Amino acid sequence: MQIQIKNLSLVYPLRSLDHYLLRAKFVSSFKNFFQKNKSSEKFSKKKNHIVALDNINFNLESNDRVGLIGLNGSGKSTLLSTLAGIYAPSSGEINMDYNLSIPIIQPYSVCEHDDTVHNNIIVIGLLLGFKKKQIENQMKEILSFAELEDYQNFPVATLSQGMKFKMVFAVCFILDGKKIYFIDEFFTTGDEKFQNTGFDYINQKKDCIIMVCSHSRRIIENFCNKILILDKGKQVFFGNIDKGFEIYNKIIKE
Amino acid sequence: MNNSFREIIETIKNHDLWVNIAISKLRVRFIRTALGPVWEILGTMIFLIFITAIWSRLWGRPFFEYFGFLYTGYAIWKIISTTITESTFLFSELYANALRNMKCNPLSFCLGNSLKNIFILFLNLPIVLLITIYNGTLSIDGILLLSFYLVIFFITAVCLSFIVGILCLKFRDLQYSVVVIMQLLFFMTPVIWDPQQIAEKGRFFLIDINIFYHYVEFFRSALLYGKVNILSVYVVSISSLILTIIAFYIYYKIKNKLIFWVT
Repeated sequence: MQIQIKNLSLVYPLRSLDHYLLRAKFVSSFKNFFQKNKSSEKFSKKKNHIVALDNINFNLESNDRVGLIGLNGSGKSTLLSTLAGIYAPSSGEINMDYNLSIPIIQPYSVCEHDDTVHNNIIVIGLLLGFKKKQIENQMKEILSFAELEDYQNFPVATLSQGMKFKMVFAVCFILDGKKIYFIDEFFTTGDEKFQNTGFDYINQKKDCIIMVCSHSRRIIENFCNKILILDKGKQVFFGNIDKGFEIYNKIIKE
Repeated sequence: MNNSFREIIETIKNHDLWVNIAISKLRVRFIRTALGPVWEILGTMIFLIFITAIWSRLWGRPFFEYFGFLYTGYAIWKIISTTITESTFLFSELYANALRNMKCNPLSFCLGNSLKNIFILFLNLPIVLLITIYNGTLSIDGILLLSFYLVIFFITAVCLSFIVGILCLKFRDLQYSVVVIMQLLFFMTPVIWDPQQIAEKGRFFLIDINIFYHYVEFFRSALLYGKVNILSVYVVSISSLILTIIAFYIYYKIKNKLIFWVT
């Protein structure tokens, strides 16, 4: 199993909220009418774009654990979403089996808070691409791992944040069949005890490719064997962790 | 083009997802109530009994005859109106988080939401059937026509949800205007008034070319009279086909852009 990323770029359309407001257009036109230099502040009807990912290249193989690191706004989450198939790349190639991949961006955001834990597990699992029969077969295992056996008929709204987190984690990792995991920062914001338990569990998974986005040096050092550094959408480094952190430290100091 | 077609077929085949979305939304709608879905019937019944009591006298029509006419028209209109109104924020609010965080086809949500509305229509069907039995108008032809109608209606609802959802996502002003238009159409379409009450002059605009009338009329006539005006059959079938083509074309054109409009 492999992931090959060649010249991957993503151009993201951006529009100011003023673009939509008729009032802003009117005020802008009014100002322009009385200003000498009309062209400089003319209300732009053109789309603005940002190059969110610029020429990303790397290959991953089975058992690779990649730490994705970069300053805020460097394109980490965008890269994960693009690899997971949520965004279609503007150019370049992503060669991998999407049937085996699972995006773990913010799965708890799709919870139906008034519905039961049991039903939410089914819907989240289905949205992540698992089959209903499989989810039902592994329901006990999921509830047991998340320590929610007694809560399966309670609404998700009654759970604490930590319990919701465990529920989502269990759905993502207990269900069999996926081999490529794209884990966003949300996972590394849980308490340290559960992070350790979670990462221990994930580490037992064989023949998988895992890409985890984090600001935590500890997590990347303990869990990953490779590092990918992004800066302003560009790939700065991909490879050895120690060398990667040397480069990352320089970026931080700049 | 082939890819888009294959994606749509795969989404339809993945019925576990959209059926569960429909069931989940329906369950949540009545959650923590003692009567549950019975409220759907009860609410409509109470409202229409009062309306019938007043308007059947106003228009000099027998209570049960007018109640049947009103209930069937109102039940289907409510579903048409809910489907369109909900579509206005389907992608911008209702399922925005799922689209942002999961690799899922937006059509799944159109299928799920339309199915949920069909389920709500089914909740009203026992009352409608009781009325037809009471009036002695229940027939096999009517049941067959109703089955055909429900299939066509489901296809139309899914396509319309997608088209309206996408348009309202891109042009957010439409979210507000569609709601106002639907309120106006309720009074312009013969839901609470009989088409025979309208003068010949206004028939063309309010009835003949009013697509919503044909959708209401098909459902109502199939149940109440066991037969349907052939013009309504054509209008419903052809409009469904046209909407399917438009929805497919929009899907083909915007499937990769949609996520940028959501975020």
